[in-house]
Amino acid sequence: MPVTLTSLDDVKFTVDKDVAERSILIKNMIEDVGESDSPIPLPNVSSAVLKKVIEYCEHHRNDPVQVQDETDDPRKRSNDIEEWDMKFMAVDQEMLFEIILAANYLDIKPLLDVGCKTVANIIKGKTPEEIRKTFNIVNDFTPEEEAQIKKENEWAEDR
Amino acid sequence: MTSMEECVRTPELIENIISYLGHSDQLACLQVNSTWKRLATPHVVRWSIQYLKDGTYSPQFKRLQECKEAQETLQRNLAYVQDLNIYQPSVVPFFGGSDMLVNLAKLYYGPHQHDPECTIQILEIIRKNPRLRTVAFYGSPFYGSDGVSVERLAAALQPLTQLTNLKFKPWSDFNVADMKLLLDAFPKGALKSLRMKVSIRDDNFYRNVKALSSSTGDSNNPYVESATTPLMDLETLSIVMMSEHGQDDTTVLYRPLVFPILRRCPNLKCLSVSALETEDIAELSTIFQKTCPLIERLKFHSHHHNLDERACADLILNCPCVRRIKSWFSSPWDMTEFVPRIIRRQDPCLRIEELDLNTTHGARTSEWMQRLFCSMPNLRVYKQSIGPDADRAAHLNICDMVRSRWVCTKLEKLYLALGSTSDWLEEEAETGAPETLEQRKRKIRQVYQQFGALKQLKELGIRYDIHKESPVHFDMTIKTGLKAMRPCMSSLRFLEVLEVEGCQIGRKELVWMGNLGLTSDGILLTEPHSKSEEDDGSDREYVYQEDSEVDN
Repeated sequence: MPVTLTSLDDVKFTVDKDVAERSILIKNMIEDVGESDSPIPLPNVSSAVLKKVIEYCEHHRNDPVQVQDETDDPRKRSNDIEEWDMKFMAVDQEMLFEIILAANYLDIKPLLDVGCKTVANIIKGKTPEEIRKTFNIVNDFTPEEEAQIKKENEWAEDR
Repeated sequence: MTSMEECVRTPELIENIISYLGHSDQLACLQVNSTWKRLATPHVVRWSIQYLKDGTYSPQFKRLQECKEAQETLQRNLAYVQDLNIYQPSVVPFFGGSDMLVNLAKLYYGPHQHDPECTIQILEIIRKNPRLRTVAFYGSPFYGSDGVSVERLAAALQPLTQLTNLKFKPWSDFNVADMKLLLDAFPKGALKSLRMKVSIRDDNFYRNVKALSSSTGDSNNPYVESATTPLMDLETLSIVMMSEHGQDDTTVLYRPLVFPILRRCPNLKCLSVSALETEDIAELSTIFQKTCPLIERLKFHSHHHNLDERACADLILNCPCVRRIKSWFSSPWDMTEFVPRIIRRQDPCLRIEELDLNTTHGARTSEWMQRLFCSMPNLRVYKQSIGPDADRAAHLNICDMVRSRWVCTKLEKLYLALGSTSDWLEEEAETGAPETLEQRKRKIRQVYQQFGALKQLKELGIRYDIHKESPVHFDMTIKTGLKAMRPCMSSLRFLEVLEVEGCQIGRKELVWMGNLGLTSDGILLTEPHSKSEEDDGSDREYVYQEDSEVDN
C-alpha cells in the first residue's frame, strides 16, 4: 500500500510503504495510527531534501536491518562507503547537512551513518583551527586551557 | 542558523561523526571547543586503553608510560572505559589504583606471567565494577598455592548481578570443588555463557581430575550436582580441551567436568566440545535427549581414529532443535554411514540450516553430497573441506548437484573443495593420456559457470588444493575461475564474497571487474601468493600467453 508524505513546503510524495518504513519515525507513526489514507506531515523536511531521502530509501529498500556490533574497538572506519552512496552524497555542503538533519529526524540510521562518515572525511587531516573555520564554530577555550589540552595529548600525536 | 551550524551543535551528531575518525583526527576534535572536547574524550581515552592493551608493541605505549600528564588525564577519564583487556601485569596497578574505573562491562585478564599481587588488584577492580557483564581470565591467575584462592574469586563474582559471561582457563590445582564454588557464585543462575579452556598439560590438574573421575564412578558428580542452583539460564557452553598426554587422556575430563555441567543446563542453546571419544559421543547423545533438548548450535571435534559414524549421526539426530552444526575431525572419516542414517530420519534435518564438515580425508562422491543436500532442504550454509574426490574423474557431476532443485532453494553460502588437481596428475600417470592445459581450464571454467544458477548465493568459495608443482597452477585456476565467473555476475546479484583457493574477493571488486571487462590481473587478492624465482618458469609464461589469447 502506498503512503503519502507531505513536506515542509507542502509538496506531496507518494511512496511504497516498505520504502517509507526505512524511516523508523514513519514506521512508528504508521503503526500507531494504523492503515490510513491521510498524508503524513513531515514539517521539518523540505521537498528538495525529502526527494533526496526518498531516493536513498528506494535504492536501499531491500537492505537487511543493521545489526549493532558491540565491539569497543576504537578503529571504526569512514572509508567503507558504498559506491552508490558515495555518488548519492556528492552534493553541496548545505544539502549534505540537510540530509543528515533529515535522517536524524526521520530516524534512518544507515543514511545518518553515511552522512556522518562523509562529514568525517571532510574533517580528516584538518587542524582544530581549520575545523572551526570549516564549520563556523566558536572557540570557547581560554589560551591556558588550550595549552593544557595540547600538553596532555602531545604524547599520542603521530611523529 | 544554517543546517551546517545546527549539525555541528547537535551533540549526538558530533559524537557520531567523531566516532568515524582516527586517533589523530579525534585529537584535533578535542581541541575545537568545550562541547567537542567533552564528546571526543571517550574516544580518545579508548585509544589510550588500546595502546595499553597492545603494550610494548605500540610506540605510543612507551610514550604514554613516560608522560605523566597523559597518565593523569587518562586516570581522570577512566569512567569512560567499558571494555578493558589486560595482558601486561605492569599496567594492572595503573587501573587497580583508580577510583574512576567503575563503569566496566567487560574485563579480560590474561597476563603472561603470574603475579599474585596483580591478581589481588584485579579482584579489587571487579569489586568496584558491579555492572560487569563479561569476565574472562586467560592466564590462570588463581593458583591456590599463591594464596589467591578460588574462594576469593567466587566472593568477588558474587555481587555481580549482571554477569552473564564467564570465561576461564582452569588453574593448576583446579578441581570440581572449585567448579562448584564458581557456579555457586551466581545465586540467581543468571549465567548465560560459560567458556572453559582446559589444559591438562599440568600433571597436578590431570591427577586431580583423574582421581575424581575414578572415585565418583559413573555419572553423578557430588560436587557439581549438589551446587545449589541449576544453571537454568546457561545458553552457551564451550569447553575446549588441550592435551599433551596423548589422545586417550582427554576423555577422563568429560565424566567429572563436562557431563555434570550439561546435566544441569536444561536451556542450553549452544554447545561446543572438543576431543570427543566414541563413548563420549554416545553419552552426549543420551544427555541431549534427556536434559538438553533445546540445543540449536552444536560444534564438536574429535581426533579419534575409529569414530563411530552412526554415533555421530545420532548425536545430531538427538538434538531436535539443532540448526547449526560445525564438526571438525582430524582423523579420516568417510561418512559413508552418516548420510544414510541422516536420510532415514528426515524430520529433524528439516531444521538444519548450517553444516560445516571438516575432515582431513573422506571418500565422498557427488552423489553422496546430493543425497545430503536433499535430506536438508533448509540448508543456508554448507562448508566442507574435502571434495567429492571419490569420483574425481567425473567431478563435473558437482554441476548437476548444484543445479538440483533442492540445493538451489535457500543456500546462501557455499564453500566447496572440489578435490585436488594433483589427483588429475595421478590419473594421467595411470591412464597415460595427459590432458592439455586447455582441457583443464575448460573443466575449471565449466564448474565455475554452473554456480551462476545459484542466484541467491551470497558467498561462494571454491578450492582445488592445487599444489605448486602442478601445471594447473594456483594462479591459473584463480584467473580462469574469475574469468568464468564474470558473465555470471549479473545473475549472482547477491554475491558479496567470492573465495578462490582461500583468497577472498569482495563484491565491489567483482562488480568493478564485470563492469570494466577487466581481466583478473588487476585484482588485488587478500592473500597475495608469493612469487619466487623458480615459479616464474617457462611453463607459467606459456599459461599466461595462452590465457590472454583465450580472453581476446
